[in-house]
Amino acid sequence: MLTRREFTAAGLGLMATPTLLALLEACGGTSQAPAATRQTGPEASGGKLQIAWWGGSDRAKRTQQAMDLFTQKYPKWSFDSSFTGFNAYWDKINTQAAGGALPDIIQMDMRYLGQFTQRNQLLDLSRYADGELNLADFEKGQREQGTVNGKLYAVSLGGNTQSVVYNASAISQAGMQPPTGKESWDELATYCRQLQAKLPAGMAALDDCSWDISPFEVFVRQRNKKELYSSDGRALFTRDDTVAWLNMWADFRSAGFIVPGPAAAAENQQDTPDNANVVLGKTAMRLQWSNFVGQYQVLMKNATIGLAAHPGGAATGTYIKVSQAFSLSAKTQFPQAGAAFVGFFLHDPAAVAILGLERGVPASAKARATLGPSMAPADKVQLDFINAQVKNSRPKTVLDPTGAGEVQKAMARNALSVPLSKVSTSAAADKFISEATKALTA
Amino acid sequence: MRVEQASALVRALERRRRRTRASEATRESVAAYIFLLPWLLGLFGLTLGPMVASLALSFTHFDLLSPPRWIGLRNYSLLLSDDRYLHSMRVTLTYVFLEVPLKLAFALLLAIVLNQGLRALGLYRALFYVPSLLGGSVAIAILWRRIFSGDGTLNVILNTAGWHHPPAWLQDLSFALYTLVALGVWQFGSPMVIFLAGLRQIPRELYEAARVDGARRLSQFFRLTLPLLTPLILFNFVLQMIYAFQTFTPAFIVSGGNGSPVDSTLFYTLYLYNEAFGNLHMGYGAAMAWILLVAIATATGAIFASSRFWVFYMETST
Repeated sequence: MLTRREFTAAGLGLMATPTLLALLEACGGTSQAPAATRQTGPEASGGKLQIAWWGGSDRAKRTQQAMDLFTQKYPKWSFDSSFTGFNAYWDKINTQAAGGALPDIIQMDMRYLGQFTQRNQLLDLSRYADGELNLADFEKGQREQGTVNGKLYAVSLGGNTQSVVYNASAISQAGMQPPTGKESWDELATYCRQLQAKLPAGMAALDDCSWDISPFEVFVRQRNKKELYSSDGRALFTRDDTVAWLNMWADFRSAGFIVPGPAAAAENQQDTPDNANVVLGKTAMRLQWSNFVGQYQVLMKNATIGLAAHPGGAATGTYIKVSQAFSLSAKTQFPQAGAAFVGFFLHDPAAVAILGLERGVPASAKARATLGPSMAPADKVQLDFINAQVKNSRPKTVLDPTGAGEVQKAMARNALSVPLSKVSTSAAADKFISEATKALTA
Repeated sequence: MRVEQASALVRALERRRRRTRASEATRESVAAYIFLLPWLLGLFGLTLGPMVASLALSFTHFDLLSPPRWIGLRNYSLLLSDDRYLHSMRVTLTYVFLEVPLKLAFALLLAIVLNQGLRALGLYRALFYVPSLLGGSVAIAILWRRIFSGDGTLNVILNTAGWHHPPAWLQDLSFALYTLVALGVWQFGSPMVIFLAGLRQIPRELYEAARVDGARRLSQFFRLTLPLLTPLILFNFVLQMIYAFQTFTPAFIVSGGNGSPVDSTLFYTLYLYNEAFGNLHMGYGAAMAWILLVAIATATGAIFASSRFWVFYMETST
């Protein structure tokens, strides 16, 4: 039998083992094989990877299938997953980051990448770039967007761009041609007025997008040839820009071709594809990220969804954005397995086929080729569109600062106060600028 | 001599008995404290400790990721000039002033109806209590969203009933908050059960005496039932007010987490949560939490102070 002292010693030893291993791993380098000869793939130990993303039900289904495939290939690895809508997702992720309990794999948005890297929450993935992640055939622009100060923190899951997503069936039933993508804002208004006259009651020509920061960003880039933020995190949009933006939407509203305020507020409250006004049949068009064409199509069995370039000059206003990326937590216990899963997600032919273009157009040339023959029609539309827009856009290189998320919310709140509480556009713009300034300095 | 000895003996015995009694009492209280230990550990470790820490944090700038920085009373002074904060206070006060009285009135009304000697009283009591069990939950908040949304259940019903363009309750600034008041009032179960218990304790003879004196039902209610229930009204009032000030879940779910539309459902706790966990202004959030605590304590104190003017305790002779 063990004496008490032996028992204690054994216990302490047991407790120390993982700590020691972790320490050894941290001091690493020497004990590990160089990247070229190192065995790629997840750690041999096996374990459970925590993963979190935002998005709707279709994304959840596809992601789950890809995770199942990974588990089939590496039976020692399983997943603990969670997903919610965009706003709730960031509240949760922020809280987890604060508690030092980020999931191993986090779906990352470019508006938040600056904030998370600044606070040292993410793992530098550079050492996995050639191995597990296999980024050799990755589109350069998308790889650069995930790189901060020379370190790779976010791996693009697909590119997208702001565009007009439209219900092609509704427009052709109204006896009109879809938008060409070459319209100025004024021409868009004329087009919408004509379309509105022919659409059935209850369907607006255009969604109310006044509250959405993304088309506002395009608008600001078109107006000033500037970015939304400077590289040191100040706002470059002005009160003037905001008033012009809100006035334009107020004109659209009084012309009667955008959805009423309450419908816009409802979409803002639950901003997932399942609640989108296009999907609910309340509008024929929305300014939206191009990857939503597939998401809307899945939910609208009886209509064809199409894409056109953004109004007001796509060439100066839009950019190919990393639609969303995967990042690993700086504190993950399984960096190699996490990287291996991301690599699998990007390259495994079966996974690529399942995921399709739901998160945007893949940045890997091989993955795009894999998709070629088996693509759903909406995916084909998206792929062709992005290929065309690469030349018809202006790259964005500045990372959004900490506080950009709150600026986004302030825009929604104040833009919606115009139709809902009859605030004047100049008063709403004043309030937005003061709240945005506060969010960016606090 | 003998008498003296005897009385000394008696005194000694008395002393000894008292001592054993005292030590018994000590032993009992030690046992009591041992049984209380788990709770005390929780109180000091999980409640009081963090509370004191949050008080300290309310004087700092703290984003959770870098160490807190002492800024004195700056969080508190910033709050006074924060329009959204003052607005969240207005929203919450409106909610408390509407929800609590309505809920208590509704609970009392149903308790009186149920007290009319119904058969299957237990069944009805349970049925009416169910919303209180469910009401604070996420699922019910989601259900509420479905019922009251633009093309939700309610509007479908109203449409068939002939009202063709009913408002989108949750997206209309003049209704959004009141749908949440309705959700709160609907959870009348627990004050109702307490009122019901109170009603059943009022001696029947009092009503008989009142009838003999010619009192009608209405004056029986105002002169007899209501005064005798005032202790329970006080109890329910205080509890429900405290809950109402802290309402969070329904507002969070129904508004999509941001108090929308246009801050019309920006409850105090929701703004606190968004500032603390959305924008990681923990010190600011802590300051807000302490102001809320003081506000609730003051309101409770005021209600208790006023109670001697309106609460009637029946002298019970046993």
